[in-house]
Amino acid sequence: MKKVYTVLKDNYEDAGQASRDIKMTLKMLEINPKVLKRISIACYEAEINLVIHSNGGTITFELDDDGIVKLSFDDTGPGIENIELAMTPGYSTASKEAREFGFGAGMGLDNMKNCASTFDIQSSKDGTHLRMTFQ
Amino acid sequence: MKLSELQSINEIRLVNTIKDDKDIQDVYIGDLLSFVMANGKEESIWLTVQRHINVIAVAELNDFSAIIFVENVEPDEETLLKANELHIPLFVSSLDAFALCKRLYQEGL
Repeated sequence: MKKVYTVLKDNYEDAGQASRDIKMTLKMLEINPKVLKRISIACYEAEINLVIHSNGGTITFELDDDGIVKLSFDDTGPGIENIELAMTPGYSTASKEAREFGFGAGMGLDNMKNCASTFDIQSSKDGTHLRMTFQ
Repeated sequence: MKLSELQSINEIRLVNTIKDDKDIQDVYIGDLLSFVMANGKEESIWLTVQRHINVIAVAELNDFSAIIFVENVEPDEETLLKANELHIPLFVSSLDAFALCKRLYQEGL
């Protein structure tokens, strides 16, 4: 199974919609609730990052025959300047607007890494590419 | 405790059209969405002052039973509409989070 979602920059209104759809899909497939919770947290955090930090991008959800869920987040920039710093809990470059909405706690990437079975992030000014798997 | 039992607390009022009688197993208090996502438990009621539409996605992903906006914070119109669509009850309380927790505790939660 494969689904692709488009996420637009600064579209706070619809932020979380792809994560909700992925959660509903997996719930119908009766996936283990604990794994589903980890997927929901990581997917939401990554989706929000696309909205508040990127120029926009896509989320690709894949479920293979062994029940392994793979989530890919690909945007078109501007990239993360220092990934190590961005991974530090509490560090955030979120805008004032995003912070007013309750985002920008600086916990997103750390939350994702804690929830995913595998976590890989590559970034340049042309875009950030994040891969996570869950089992 | 059931959601319907919140109606007996004078300082809490339902502000959207969702009448539900879900269980309340726990309470989570917080305004930073990443912390709520990471630590919220299902069937909790969530006490917050965040009124923006994004709270609805967070409540839905966490399987919260309801959101209570404390200190008389009124949710945005879009938040109300989205909550109706996703069937999430929204309440407003005149109390602050700590005072409301004490009230909920008195009521048996």
